[in-house]
Amino acid sequence: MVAACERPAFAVDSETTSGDTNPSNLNYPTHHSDARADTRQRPAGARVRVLLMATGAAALALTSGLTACGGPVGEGPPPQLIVPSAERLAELEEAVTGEVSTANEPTELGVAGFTDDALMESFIKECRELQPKGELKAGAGDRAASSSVGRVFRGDTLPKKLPEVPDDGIFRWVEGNPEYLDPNKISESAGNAIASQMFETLLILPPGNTPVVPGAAESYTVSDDGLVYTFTLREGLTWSDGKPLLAEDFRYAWLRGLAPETGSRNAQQLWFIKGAKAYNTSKSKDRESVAIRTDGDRKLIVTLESRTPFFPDLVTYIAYAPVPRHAIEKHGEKWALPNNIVVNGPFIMTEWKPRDRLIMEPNPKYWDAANIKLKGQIIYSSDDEKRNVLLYDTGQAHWVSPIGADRIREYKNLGRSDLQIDQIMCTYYYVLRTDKPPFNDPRLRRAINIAVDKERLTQHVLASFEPSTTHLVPDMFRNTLGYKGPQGDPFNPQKARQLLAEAGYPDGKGLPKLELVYNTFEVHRLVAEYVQRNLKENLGIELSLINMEWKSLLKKNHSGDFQISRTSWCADYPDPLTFLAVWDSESENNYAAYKNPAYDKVLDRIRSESDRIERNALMCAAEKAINRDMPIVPFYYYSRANLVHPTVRGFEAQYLDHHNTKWIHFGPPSAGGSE
Amino acid sequence: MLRFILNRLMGAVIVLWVIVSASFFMMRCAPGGPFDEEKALPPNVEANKWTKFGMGDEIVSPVAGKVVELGQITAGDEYEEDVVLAVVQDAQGIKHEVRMPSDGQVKVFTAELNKEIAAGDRVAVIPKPLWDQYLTSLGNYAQLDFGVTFTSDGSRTVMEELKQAFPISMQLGLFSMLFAIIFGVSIGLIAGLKQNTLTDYTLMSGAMVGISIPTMVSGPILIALFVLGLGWFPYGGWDPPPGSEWSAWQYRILPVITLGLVYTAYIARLTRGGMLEIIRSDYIRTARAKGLSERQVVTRHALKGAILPTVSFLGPAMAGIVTGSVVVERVFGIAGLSEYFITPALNRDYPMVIGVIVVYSAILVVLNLVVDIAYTFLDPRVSYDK
Repeated sequence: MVAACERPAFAVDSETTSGDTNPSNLNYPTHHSDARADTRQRPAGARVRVLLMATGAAALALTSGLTACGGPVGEGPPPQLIVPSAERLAELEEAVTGEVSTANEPTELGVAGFTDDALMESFIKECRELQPKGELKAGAGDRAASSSVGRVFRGDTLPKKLPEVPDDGIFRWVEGNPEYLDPNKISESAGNAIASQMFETLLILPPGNTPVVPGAAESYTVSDDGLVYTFTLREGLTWSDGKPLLAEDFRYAWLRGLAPETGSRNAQQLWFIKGAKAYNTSKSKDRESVAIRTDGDRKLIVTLESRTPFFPDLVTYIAYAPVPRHAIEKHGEKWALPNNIVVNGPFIMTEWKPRDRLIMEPNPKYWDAANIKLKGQIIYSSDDEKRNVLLYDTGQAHWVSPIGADRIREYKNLGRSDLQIDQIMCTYYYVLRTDKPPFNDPRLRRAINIAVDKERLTQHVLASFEPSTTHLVPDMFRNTLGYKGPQGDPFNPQKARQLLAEAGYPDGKGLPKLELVYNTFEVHRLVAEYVQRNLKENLGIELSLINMEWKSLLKKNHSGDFQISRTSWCADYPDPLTFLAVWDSESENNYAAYKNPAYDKVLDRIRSESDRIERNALMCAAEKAINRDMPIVPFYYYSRANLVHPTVRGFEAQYLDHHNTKWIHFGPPSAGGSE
Repeated sequence: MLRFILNRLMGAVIVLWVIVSASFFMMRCAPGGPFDEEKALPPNVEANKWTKFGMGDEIVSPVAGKVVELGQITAGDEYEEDVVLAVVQDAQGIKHEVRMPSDGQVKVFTAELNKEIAAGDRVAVIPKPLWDQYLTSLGNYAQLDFGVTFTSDGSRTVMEELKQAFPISMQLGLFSMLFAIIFGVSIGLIAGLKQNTLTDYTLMSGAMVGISIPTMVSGPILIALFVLGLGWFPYGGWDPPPGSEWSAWQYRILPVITLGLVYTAYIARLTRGGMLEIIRSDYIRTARAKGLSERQVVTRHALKGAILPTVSFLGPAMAGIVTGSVVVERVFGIAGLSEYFITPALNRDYPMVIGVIVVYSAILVVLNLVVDIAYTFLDPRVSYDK
């Protein structure tokens, strides 16, 4: 694919408030990894890989002075013919030479062990060179420019015949079935998507991949060491039942989330607060040891464990929402049900039939109620692709996702503007168990990795919009943080055979039987069979495939009883660290048993580094170490395909796949969609 | 008759008990547990869940003191009785060993070296013995208390879930059955009375097609025709959402037809067969001979006998409708019991699984009993009182 469409560098600036930069979006629907969530990432259609953000690049070009490169290749809308400016060409040149040079020269293997301290130092040096210098520019807080950042596809043809949705100001959409709506417990994406319409956090997400904006807090300050955040609440905030909303309510909520009795699944998102982990894991029984203080009714002062430049983003997560103590004490477990529920956000639930539908009305007590344009919301519980498409086609829903691959392909070819495909922060990969034979040999791990043609996989086998990858961290952090990661080793069957021979298994001879475990799901099967064929053809290795249902796979992963296992990771917070920290020796998700002290040391340095560019360099070095030590075989990043009715405004791409309906309103059908 | 019903009810209870017991143990044999997630919970939090839902026993320290020694314990592994979990030194310097009370798995291990703990503080959590869990649960099931669902983290009970979903599936099933009986019997009678005419051939060919097309095909065809094509009916759900201009029956008619169609066809064929047999029998000839009109012959005498095969078919048909509704509910997006058919088992939501199994088995057992009783009214030769 033409390297030309390098995504515009530094698409977003942090013009945000004080202190550390962390622009971009946030709230992540926590863990997508259970079986149900996996369905929503079913790779989309389209045989042609569309380079990211054709339209986004164009929009950005206007503000950033850069010129965009071509549009999608092949079917779909015609490419835009724009001549790149000299500046842009230079940048592309830099990008191309920088990345290709590292990509084509696999770092020498050396001893059989993992990357050591000395090698890591040299990686850091190389990475310092690689990181773009200077301030983040372009897009800075400009909504029009940043709104299409992260968009993989959006057609520009307004369909002639549109589904007729009732024009009553009610926004209709679908979401999986939420199990519960208590912000302190939510772990699945459905609960997160719905509860965050009702509970407003201190800072909130604007539409699109743009920096956070004030929510319940009117402002915040950060201490010089980046550890103490002081939030000031808006004046006169109330709960939906009229009780005043105080800083103490936030403190109560966060401590409730951390209390071991609550059994919260998202409490780990609060562990960045000093003392939080100890309290949550019962190492300390003293609530007061958690560093959350209030000063008067409107000031909340939080001390963090270590420097956390992405804390403003984290604060938008549902785990950081306030909960109404008075309602919880009155209704117990049943407080988050219709009639009992008390909220502080723009909408309040009035009816909930689990597994059927959920109805919300605007909350008149919300501080910004005057600016809420929706008259209400109907949210259908559905994660079935066929059903979603029917709901859309029959005019019962404005926004549906996931949708089937055939529909995506059809609409993509028609260039229809009601199809939107957005990139999200997830990577699909296989884990290799590095602590036991045969995968304790790095040469074998690397051979497997470069014997699989991943680009062919995404383009021809899955026929999806998912961009294939050679490395772990999704590439959107270039836009949000100016982070430039290293490329992994490209597909190279000759080199793979050579490595296999070096490892002592020429042409796969003498290699013990290899097994791949994966959970039952169509896409996983396709990938597994493709890998099986690649290994057979390119290396002469027999791979046996074992599929099992999700919980059985989890058990295998946790117990380490496998050779190769399928898994994926979605960002917990919008920062490359969330992907890198998985491979911490202590991490419970380190299924590869990748225990490397040199790597852990770099992680510690990342956690305390205050300079953005140096921090990026350290993260890049850590990723380089992963590329070299190869505990994983990365395949592709996820994207999410949505059908969005052309009357909907304010629905933008979101890296964390979190859409705040506060910003949604309606207008006459338009191909542009946003304003 | 009463004795027969009592006997059958006794049998039903035994059948249910066998089904529940088998499911109970099979569920627990499946690998993985209800609280496993990709991101593991901290051990103490997971321990809370095991005890909260009554599936775990705590092993506690007998004294207050400091943990001075830890056993070689990995959570999730099996250990023998009397294996030392931890050694606690009290204020007097006396060491107390905390041991495994029996052979078995350590679910969660919370002890930490050099930590001060109080008497009664948790050292580890082991699963409650299976028999113990089984007996407690069985007692609760007998009182129709299936407990709370794990996936809702205890915020909803199994009964609440079933109360919402069951009536929808029941209505769908009953309406479909009614549809199938009314249309099936009418078509069968007409075809039987006009044997070997064009009407007969047309109706029976239609029935053959109806039998051959499964609901997962006929559903989408009906949707394509009547929803997307003609726009006569809305799509999706059982109750109209607020703001919908369609009425409830318009929402319900397509799923009912889809589910009923296959059985309409079967019933039509059975009724036609029954009619052909009866219409040639002696007592019909007698009825005709005494000068009754043809209409009277059919409605008074022939009909009863003709639908007997249909009635005996209703038992198995009910089973088919109950399970078949799972497919139709998925196709039409109806939030009935189908939502609980597979997901709870995948989530290892033990209480929900048992709840659904009991409901389904009970429906089948009861419906079969109803059919047996209906027999006595239709066929004087059948009697259960001997």
